[in-house]
Amino acid sequence: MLARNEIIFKWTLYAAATALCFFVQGALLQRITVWGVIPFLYPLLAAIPASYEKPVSATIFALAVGVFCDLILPGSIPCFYTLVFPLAGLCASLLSQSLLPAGILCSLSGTAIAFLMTGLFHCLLLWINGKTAWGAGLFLTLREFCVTAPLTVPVNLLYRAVFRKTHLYD
Amino acid sequence: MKKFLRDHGLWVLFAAAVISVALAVMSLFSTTSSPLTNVANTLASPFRSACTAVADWFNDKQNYYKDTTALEAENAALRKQMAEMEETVRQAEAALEENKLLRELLNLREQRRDLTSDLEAATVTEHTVTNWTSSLTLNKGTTHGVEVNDCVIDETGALVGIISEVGVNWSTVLTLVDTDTSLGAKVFRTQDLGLAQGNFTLMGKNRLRLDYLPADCQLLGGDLVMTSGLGGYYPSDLVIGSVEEVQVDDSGAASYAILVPKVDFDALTEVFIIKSFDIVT
Repeated sequence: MLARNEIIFKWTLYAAATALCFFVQGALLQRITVWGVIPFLYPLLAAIPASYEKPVSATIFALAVGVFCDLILPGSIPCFYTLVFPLAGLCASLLSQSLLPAGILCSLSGTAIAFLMTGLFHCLLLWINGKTAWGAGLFLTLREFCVTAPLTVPVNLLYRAVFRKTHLYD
Repeated sequence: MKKFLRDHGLWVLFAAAVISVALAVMSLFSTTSSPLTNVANTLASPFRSACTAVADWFNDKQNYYKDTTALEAENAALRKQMAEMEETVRQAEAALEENKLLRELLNLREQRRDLTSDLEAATVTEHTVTNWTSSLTLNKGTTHGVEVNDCVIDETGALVGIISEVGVNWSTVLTLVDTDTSLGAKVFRTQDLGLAQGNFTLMGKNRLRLDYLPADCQLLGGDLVMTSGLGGYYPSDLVIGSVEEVQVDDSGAASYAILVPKVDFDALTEVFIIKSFDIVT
């Protein structure tokens, strides 16, 4: 059980790590195109920290990431990531609590789920708007995941470092 | 933490739901962009510009050092002379580029008197930020009189896209190929009317569709497509692109054309926002 100041310290470190990833995405990754897509870190930021935390706190953190993404990214609806990322965070957390221990494999699985949910929700919105593109949308999701998957390793290491720093006696 | 979440977890989730609904509602009632989005992007705008400047600086340096191997073979006197000449040429090229841009803009203003003189030059600070949209971020916003639905053109007068969100010192343009872009169009040669709209399947290839064409239309590859200006929402006769191919839709009853935009969105650095225009009848 962490004391209040330790909890504040922990979430401040998580926020700082997330801010660093946002900066890397905006300053570097956004300018790179591989296999026709930009590496897209944001779903990782909802899934990977969540895999180290309990479901409720993971969901709340992913929600905060989603709100921030909606503020800075253009989208077809204003609360796109606010709706998707908490679900992705919850899934990643439940995955780590029940099936896979938190680590690279769990992060990769959580990331895959996050990308799948984001892609499906995009496709669903296109379908609602009468611009059905399930095939193209899912192929784009696959490419996004394949291009971004290698980045799971450094991002996972970053959040694991934060987790270990803040859970010294666990 | 556990106790806190057990006691207050539901309230936190409720607050989160309220935040997301509030965001949606604020966005719905805002004519420009939601207040939080505006604040976030206003704060992010200088960082975007800085990142672009740093990236450009790195690109400049990278390009500059590509030729160093060849330059090392030159003798010292020639190198010095070359460096001086390169500096002069660089300055001249920059001046020429600016001169060309201004001449083209002047020419455009003379040709298109309906655009009045209300063009706002803007720099592209960020290209597409997600794989699901095709957008540009500009460094001009409400303080410069930019509004949602203003048209954005390049220096040749070709349409780039439509302003979708605007903040204090930034604005977002949805390019022609984005799935949310839709505007009245006409074929220059045949005067056939249609609806030019982004299509997700074609967006990755930088193409868009011209839908609702008359059944008997006789389009040819290379036909120029322009804005129709019908309804007065957008200026008329802005070049959208050219016909690449004509296809029949799934029902077999109607045809549509695939268009190649005239603008290369990836290469854009400077654009012009049409803040007002006269409706030509």
